[in-house]
Amino acid sequence: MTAASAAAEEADDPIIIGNPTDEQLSDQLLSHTWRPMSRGWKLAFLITGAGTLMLLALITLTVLRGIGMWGNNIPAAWGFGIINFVWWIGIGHAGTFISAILLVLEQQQVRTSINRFTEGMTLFAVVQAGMFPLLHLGRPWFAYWLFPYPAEMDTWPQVRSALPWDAAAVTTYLSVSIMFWYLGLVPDLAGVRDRAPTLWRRRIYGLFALGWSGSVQQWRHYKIAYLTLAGLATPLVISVHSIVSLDFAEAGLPGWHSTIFPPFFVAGAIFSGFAMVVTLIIPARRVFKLHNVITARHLDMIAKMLLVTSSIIAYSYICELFLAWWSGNRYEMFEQLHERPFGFYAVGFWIMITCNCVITQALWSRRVRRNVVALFVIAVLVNVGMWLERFEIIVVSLTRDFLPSSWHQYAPTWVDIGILTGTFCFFGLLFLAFLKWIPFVPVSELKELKHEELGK
Amino acid sequence: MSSLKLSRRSLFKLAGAASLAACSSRPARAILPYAKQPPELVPGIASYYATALVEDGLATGVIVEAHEGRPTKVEGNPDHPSSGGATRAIEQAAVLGLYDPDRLQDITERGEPAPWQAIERALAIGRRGRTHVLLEPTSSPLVIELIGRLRNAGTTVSFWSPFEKRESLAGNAIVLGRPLQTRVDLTNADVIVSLDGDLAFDLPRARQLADRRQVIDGTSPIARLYQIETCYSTTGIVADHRRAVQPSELARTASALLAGGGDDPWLAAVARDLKRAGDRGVVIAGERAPAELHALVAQLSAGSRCVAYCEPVVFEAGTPSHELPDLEGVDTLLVLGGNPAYTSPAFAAKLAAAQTSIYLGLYANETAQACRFVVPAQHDLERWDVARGDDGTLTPIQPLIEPLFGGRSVAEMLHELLGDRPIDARDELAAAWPKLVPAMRFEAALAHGAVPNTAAPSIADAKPSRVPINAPAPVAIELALRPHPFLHDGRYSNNPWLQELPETVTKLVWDQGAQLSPATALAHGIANGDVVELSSFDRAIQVPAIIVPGHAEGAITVPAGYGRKGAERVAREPFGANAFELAGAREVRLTRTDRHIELAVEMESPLEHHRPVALGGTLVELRDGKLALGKYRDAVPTLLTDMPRSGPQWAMQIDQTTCTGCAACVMACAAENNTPVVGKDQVIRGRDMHWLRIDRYIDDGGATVIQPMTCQHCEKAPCEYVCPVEATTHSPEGLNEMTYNRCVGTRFCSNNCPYKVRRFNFFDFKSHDPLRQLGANPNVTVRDRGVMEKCTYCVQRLRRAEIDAAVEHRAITVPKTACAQACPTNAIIFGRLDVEIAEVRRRPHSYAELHDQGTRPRTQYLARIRNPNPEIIG
Amino acid sequence: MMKPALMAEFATPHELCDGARVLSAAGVTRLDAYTPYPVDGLQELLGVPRSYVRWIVFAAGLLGGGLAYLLQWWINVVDYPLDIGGRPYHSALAFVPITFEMTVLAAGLAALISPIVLGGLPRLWQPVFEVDGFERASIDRFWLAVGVGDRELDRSRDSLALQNAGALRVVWLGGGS
Repeated sequence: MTAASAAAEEADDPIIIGNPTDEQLSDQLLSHTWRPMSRGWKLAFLITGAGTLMLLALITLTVLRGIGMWGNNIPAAWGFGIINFVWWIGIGHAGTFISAILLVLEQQQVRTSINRFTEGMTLFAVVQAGMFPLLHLGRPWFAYWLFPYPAEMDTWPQVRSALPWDAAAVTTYLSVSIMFWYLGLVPDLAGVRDRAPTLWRRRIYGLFALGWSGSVQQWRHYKIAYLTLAGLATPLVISVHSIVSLDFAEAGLPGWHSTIFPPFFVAGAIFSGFAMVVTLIIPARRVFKLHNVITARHLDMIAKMLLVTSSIIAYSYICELFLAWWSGNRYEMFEQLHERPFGFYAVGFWIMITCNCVITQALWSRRVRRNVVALFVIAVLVNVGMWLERFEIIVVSLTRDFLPSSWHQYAPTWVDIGILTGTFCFFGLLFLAFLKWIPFVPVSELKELKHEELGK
Repeated sequence: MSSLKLSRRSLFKLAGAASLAACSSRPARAILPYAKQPPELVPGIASYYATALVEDGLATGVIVEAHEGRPTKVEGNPDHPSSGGATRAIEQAAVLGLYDPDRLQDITERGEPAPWQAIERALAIGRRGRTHVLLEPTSSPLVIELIGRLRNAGTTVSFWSPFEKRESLAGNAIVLGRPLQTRVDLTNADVIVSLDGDLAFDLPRARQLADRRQVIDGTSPIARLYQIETCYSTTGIVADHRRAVQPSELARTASALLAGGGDDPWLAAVARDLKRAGDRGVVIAGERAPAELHALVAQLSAGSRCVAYCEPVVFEAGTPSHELPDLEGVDTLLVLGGNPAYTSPAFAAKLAAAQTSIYLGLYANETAQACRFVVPAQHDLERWDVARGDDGTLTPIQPLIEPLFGGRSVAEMLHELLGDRPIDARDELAAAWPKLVPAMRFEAALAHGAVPNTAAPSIADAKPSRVPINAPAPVAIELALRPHPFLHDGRYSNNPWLQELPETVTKLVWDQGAQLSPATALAHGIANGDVVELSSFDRAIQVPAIIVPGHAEGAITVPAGYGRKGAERVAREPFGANAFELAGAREVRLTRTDRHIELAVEMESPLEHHRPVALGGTLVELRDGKLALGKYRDAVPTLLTDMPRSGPQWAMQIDQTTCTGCAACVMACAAENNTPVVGKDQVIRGRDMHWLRIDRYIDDGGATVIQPMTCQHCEKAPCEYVCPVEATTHSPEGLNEMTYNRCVGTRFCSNNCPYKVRRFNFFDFKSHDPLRQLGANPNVTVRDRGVMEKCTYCVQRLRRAEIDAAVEHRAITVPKTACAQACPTNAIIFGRLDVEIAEVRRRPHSYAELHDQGTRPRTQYLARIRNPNPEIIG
Repeated sequence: MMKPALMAEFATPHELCDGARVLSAAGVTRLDAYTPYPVDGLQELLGVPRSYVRWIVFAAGLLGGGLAYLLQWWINVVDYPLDIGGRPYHSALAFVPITFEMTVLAAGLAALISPIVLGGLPRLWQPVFEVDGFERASIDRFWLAVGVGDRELDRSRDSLALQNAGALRVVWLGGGS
């Protein structure tokens, strides 16, 4: 390939490769719901299923014996639980970003094909995230006290705390994500209903398709509602991680009490989310042979997004250091300028910098962006880096706060590590189920896009 | 089969004790049906009784709080000179010792349950044969009378306790001609030179010292304290000047002081300071120092008005009867209390030789295991007796509860040995009382807890003569064997509260720590937690090392009380060895072994990291206004308005100058507020549950400073606004309140507490032992798993006081929090912001910890004010 | 929901639009179309007004947010005022996040429910489903339908016109003239 042709390709890289008919598209993208799955899928399903059972066992153990099964202590009263929560919910953000924000910004070319996929990722990541605030409680069975209800003793949630904000934000986020996802699915569920070979499948999918017929009367409200929902999800996704960041910024701890936290966290969330999209989409694309609908151009665009968000993150890190120095606050300076880069957990800090700011610089190169293996490796490293970022923020600040007398090291237990591993498996299990039973590429939208492209 | 029988019996006894405690365990003599309710006993209202706790024959008067007949809390008796209203941590933990499931519960013969008749038979044989009675040191006139009768009958009697006053009496014998007891009174002291003295745990002396070191504004002088010692003690923390020396160096230091300081400028300055103070200067020595040092110290203090001498309060103290007996040809041996098989390994071998041995004790300890017959003893809170305080004050001892396990008293055993008819202990005491104290009725004495004017008289003509003393030569590594500040000689080792009470200087819990200086450790390649072997000739022990900055070079301090091998479950838990194996050794060989253990040290970082914590300065700086603590006290800018307040505004002030770090407050808090014990593993994980802790820092000058730290009851509390369920809120009286039932356990409050004083129940830490539960304070909720807890300013006491005031239509009597009540030096002042606290808060050295956080704490501090000798720099 | 009298199947949206144009030119007004994806311009062609869903969503959002703020104010100022860290009872700034989230939640619920209800759903069976080949309406076929009772509908004329416009099939379901 000559340089000229490569440049030309970049400009007009196709969103859909080849020119499949609508029927071919439907068959390609819907038939997995009725065709038997590959042995690889079954094996993966078994492994993630076993991991999910382990997760259930460890959750049972935690609830039966107490939160002491985790490594938390005083001062590090939050540990793996909240790190995992922030990490998982951050991952969810890219999904909403791709499917909602790009829709609002009329970037369907990039969005369609991968949006359903990323919405599923959002949903399953939020499910993982949502477990942690519950499980990390001393008395998880009273978690409903964070929500207002007319109680006998006139007790209410205390809404000055960021935790009810969090509860409201995560609940809303999960609900709106499900709604958005489901509303988008309805036409495709109708497609499966009308295409599936067996009666039972048709009935089950028909039930969820609600009797969708695709009439103009339905499309008329549907289109507006879907766009409105996307419009709602856009500020929502920004608010959710902003509020998650307030769980920290609201407190007075050095390293937490900072006004840059909301944008910093949102950028980090989208960064880690895009990394997770790449981590998931590259294998899925290969397994389901989706090269024609999820093309190199999609990956290239996500890689560029990674580069942009990585730059924002790097800027935030510098900003944190500068603000600490500029504040002149001895606790803040010790935290940011001494303890994180050179303290007990400094290794984590430098791995974080390497993964989040240094390695991503390779994405300036088009060759790297188009190299599936390189992109995958970078994405996995970014996931690691972003997990470590939350570790550094939470653990270092807690273990090194104001009074040196209360400093105490934090170390996770095997239960902590088991639960984190378990959520990977549970996430994988949900994702595999999604890939099997739910149309994971929005066929209806893809056809519309193809129609519009042809109409040009 | 027999073990099954035993366990079933124990089970029934425990169940009985638990379910019937309220009625069956009250003293038989005082028991009354509630139909005719005694006026002093109202269900739900605590009653208080004066009694005493005895250690090595000396009584500390206490007031014990009882709920429906079960003692729950020990307080000092203000009318008792050995207490003055305060206690040590050990007294505070006595209740847990009473309700100890490991206590002996059955009479046994070679481990098998035996009837009392078996003891009667054995004693009857003992009455005819060659019998020896080994007692703990005693000052009880009742027991002394019985001892006299026994000796007349040909029985030999001796006394043993490893850390009783022995060396000071021997030292005084050198210079005074006979073993008189030193009586120190610091009320008028200006300069105090303490050679390894332990003032913090000597309640009257600690209070006198604190009274002499009250800082108002720096204009009035305060006493100056020099501490020369081997291991960093809490007295060393209080001292204005401290010097760490090998144990044998102490005597040389004393000799040098006697000679005006010699060529050591530091000592010369101390000697000049002493001389300037005239008769208001005093030199004291610690009880564990050798007799020679005491002889020197007596000479140094010869002209001081702070020192007097009296006859020893403990019976026959300082005489050969206070050595362990030979047991040659003894047929029957009675060991009544103590644990000589542990405290003297040499004696343990002899013990087995006695034909018949009978042990009366609280636990199935090493001695019990070595004896043929074992009889459960009575706890101090279960018995009638009389004893003397440290100054000789006669102190009646009355039981709070019927013996839980049917224990016997020492007097009962001696009566049986003498062949007397069984006699009721109270009747015996009441009958003997008029002869003992003609001036005070028995009932009045019981109510009072001490008989005034019964202190031993000072001997006016006791003047120390100048006797030349040869100081020992220095050695490479010198051993300092000392009693553990809380476990003492191991007798309290089965008390989990005391095991989990951090030693103030090392912050170590549960395990033994052989203390040594950083340089000595470096020279031997030893790190914290490395197990080291200490050997002297053929004797060797292996103990974990802990490095203590400020410890003397070339010395190693090994606390006693570890390496317990009895059947007591708690005492066996810690890692360590019996330090008494090396008793008498001076020089030891120190070698590092390959073993390493993780020590449970409650504070990871000893450094202040240049932060404004635990502030302090010198008296001169304070007087000249150079301390500039205003920036740690004045109002911080805020957008927040004041919230409405009503009722008494509670506040606390903690004086870091007089605080000795004795940890009595920590233990008192645990006893009052039912805080659980979590065990070594959990402490290592960082989950200790003490509401009150004593922060220890090593300041930039290398000195150790301390600061009691507990909930500061911030007016703008950071913990409150982050709680999502209103579980922690502010009361109109200014208390930061915790609603346990509402807590879901997010732990956000702890994260946002700048002082990290909140404690979380990571597991179900509360005790499920029915016996242990008897000791719980019924006025304080026992917290469940998953719930946050913290200091409440003893809100149960505040409410009681408010209710009482309301019922009686009078102004409130300000109660004391448990910590303030236990404090020997009144370093913790509690009261109303505008009344009791108003004056102290106006003092120029009052400040708020982490003032810049804008939390506006109700608990504030008085900076630690030192009074250094201007001649000594640094 | 309209009961169709005449239905025509098209292979492409262009032909569907042509067919619709022919019928509306002929004065037929009760038109509807079934398509696998929304077809641009079809809505205007069939004279279907713009959806008012966004106004429902807007109202729901206002209601959700308003109630959320009101509840927070009532709890903290009226029902059970407590001194929480010395903060004012009416801590307006602290009430903002939940107010925002509840706005979005209520609006989101409205945005999910209103298109379903306004689209006549859920209705698992509809008469059109009985038309042979209609199952491809969700895959790759475009159906134009004329409702029962349209006065201007002429069976033979319009069938022919539709076939001329490219209809693969015209199905008469009856119920009209």
